[in-house]
Amino acid sequence: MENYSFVDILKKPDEKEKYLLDRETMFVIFDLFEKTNGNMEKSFTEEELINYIMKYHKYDKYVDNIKQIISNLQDYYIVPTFNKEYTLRSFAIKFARLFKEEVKTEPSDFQKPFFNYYSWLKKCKEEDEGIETWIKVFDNFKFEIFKELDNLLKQIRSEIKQFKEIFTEKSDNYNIYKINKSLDNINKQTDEFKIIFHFDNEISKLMRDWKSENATIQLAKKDIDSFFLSVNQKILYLRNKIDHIKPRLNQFIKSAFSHNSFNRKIEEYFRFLLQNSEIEKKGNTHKIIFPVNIPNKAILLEPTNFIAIKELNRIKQNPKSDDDKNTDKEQIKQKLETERKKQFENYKKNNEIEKKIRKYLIEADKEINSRGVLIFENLFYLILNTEKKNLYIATCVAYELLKKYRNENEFKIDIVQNIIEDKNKDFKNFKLWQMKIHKI
Amino acid sequence: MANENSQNINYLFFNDKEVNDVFAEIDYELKNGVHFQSKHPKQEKKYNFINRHYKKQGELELKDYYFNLYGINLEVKEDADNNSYYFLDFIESGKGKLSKQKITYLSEEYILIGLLLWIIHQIYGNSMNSCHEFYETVIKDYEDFKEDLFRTILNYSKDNSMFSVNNKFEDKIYESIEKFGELGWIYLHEDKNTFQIMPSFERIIKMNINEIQTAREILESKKKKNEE
Repeated sequence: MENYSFVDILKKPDEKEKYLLDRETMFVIFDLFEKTNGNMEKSFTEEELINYIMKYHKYDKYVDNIKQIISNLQDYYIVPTFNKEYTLRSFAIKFARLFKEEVKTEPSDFQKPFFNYYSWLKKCKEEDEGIETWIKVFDNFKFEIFKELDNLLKQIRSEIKQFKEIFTEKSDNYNIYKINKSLDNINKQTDEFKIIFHFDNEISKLMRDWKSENATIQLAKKDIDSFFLSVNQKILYLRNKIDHIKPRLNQFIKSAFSHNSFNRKIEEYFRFLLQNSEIEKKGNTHKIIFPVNIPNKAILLEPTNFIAIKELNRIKQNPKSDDDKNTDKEQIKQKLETERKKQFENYKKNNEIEKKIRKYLIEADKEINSRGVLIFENLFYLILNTEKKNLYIATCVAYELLKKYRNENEFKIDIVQNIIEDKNKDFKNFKLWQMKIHKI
Repeated sequence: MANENSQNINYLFFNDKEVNDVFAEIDYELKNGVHFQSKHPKQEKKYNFINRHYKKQGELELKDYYFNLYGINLEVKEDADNNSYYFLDFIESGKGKLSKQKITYLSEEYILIGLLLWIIHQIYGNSMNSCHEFYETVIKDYEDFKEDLFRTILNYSKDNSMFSVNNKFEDKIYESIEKFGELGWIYLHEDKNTFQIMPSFERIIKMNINEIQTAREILESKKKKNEE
């Protein structure tokens, strides 16, 4: 059976024993999955298999039970090849992959606990409580963080290994996209770790200022310092590794895929336009002139403007002379022209404002995503300052932020009804409630 | 009442019960260059209407309407994944019977940014979901395009501060994506930053197909002339 579905398995009581493994044997499969990189064609020896079984089942010698485990595994998880070697079945690979996906932790999973540790330590200090329990619990947390960072490093190494296989033509070119995506993901996770450890100095500082002669606390102070140092070094190491491999990967993608002749032509055409177009300056603006032989192409008709003319009050008037009629026409024409100019100016102005609002919203999103929190009053007064007290832009930004983040599960908006005033007293008339948007 | 000037023409789509709801907008947008596809989250109803009434054997439908009344072709094309899209083809038909109407060309900088997006996204498979991500990808991963891009699109000279140049370039990307959004080539979300590329975006390539095919020859003949 190659199709994998837990639900289907559980529906068959007679068979589920064969499909579902005990906890220790599951670990054996995960190790084999790591060893073979989830590749059905890569084999492992019986000796290696027995070593993994002994590692998790704590057997110290070759016993019948091991033979039984191997025999059971052969039903659905492994296939014997020759010379006492085995490969994983696709069922085992799907099983391990699915499990890995399910239990994968993200750096953001550590963010809240980390902040809680900081608050807990701060509270201990404020209320003059002992921190022995805190040290113990934080030790476990340190272990988890190291494990995660080591996992990221392992993943990078595995991606580099796969890249080498593609490079030496042992693997399909299209896997390069997976590697690229995976490295982007690791990069993102590394950045998230960096954000979490934004509080590192605060915890170190609290610990350093702790006045105690207790030997455990003294030791903990040193441990915490070296922990943060080591975490930051590991993060830096990960970043360097990725920064080193990414340009090579991009270069490879470029050369590998430019083999497609039409794609190569598109890129050539693009370069041709870039390098051979001329620039015509007109005051502060400029216009790109494509090389001769490259015509510009029509894509749409000028947007049609509907012009509604108000019905004039019907007043009996003397018949007009031809001159009067011409003057009237001229006046209407001028009026329409002025109206059109006014509309265009308004459109331009609104467009500019909309652009500014969009820019501030992007800045706000960046702040929330990189620091985990946005203190809105800072942004609000910054906008007023930069935009010459334009309250419309500031309130639009506030409205859009509230609209966006109030329904997002991962974010929380705290509004405290404390009136905030501008610290610099430049905008005494503008007061607002304290508002924070933060990641949960 | 019928008179000597009347004729009995019945365009079938006028009998659709949705015609009053959707046709005015479809008509206005088609003339303004909008492309309609089923994948576009905001075009479903309009796309379905066009799809229902594009063309029928022995009947007068939308294609006939635009050809008979305006002299412009209503086209349907498919992208590589068989997603169809509809548009009025001003490139092939010109202005048709609307000869006094002004026609707008896609500006050169939009064409360049569109080609750049196509190359990075479609050829190198570097998927991007937002204008900012697009900007960052160009700056970080496509160094070799950067200098020519800045020179052409921003008229950059080395005296300009790099910070202001980067900012201006990012603005140009936002502007272009917004323009492509208006044409239906891209679905731009309400935040005006995140986007999805739509099937009709391939028009940036298809409308320049002859030039793409012959660019190398033009380049080589230019080189020869320079050598002479």
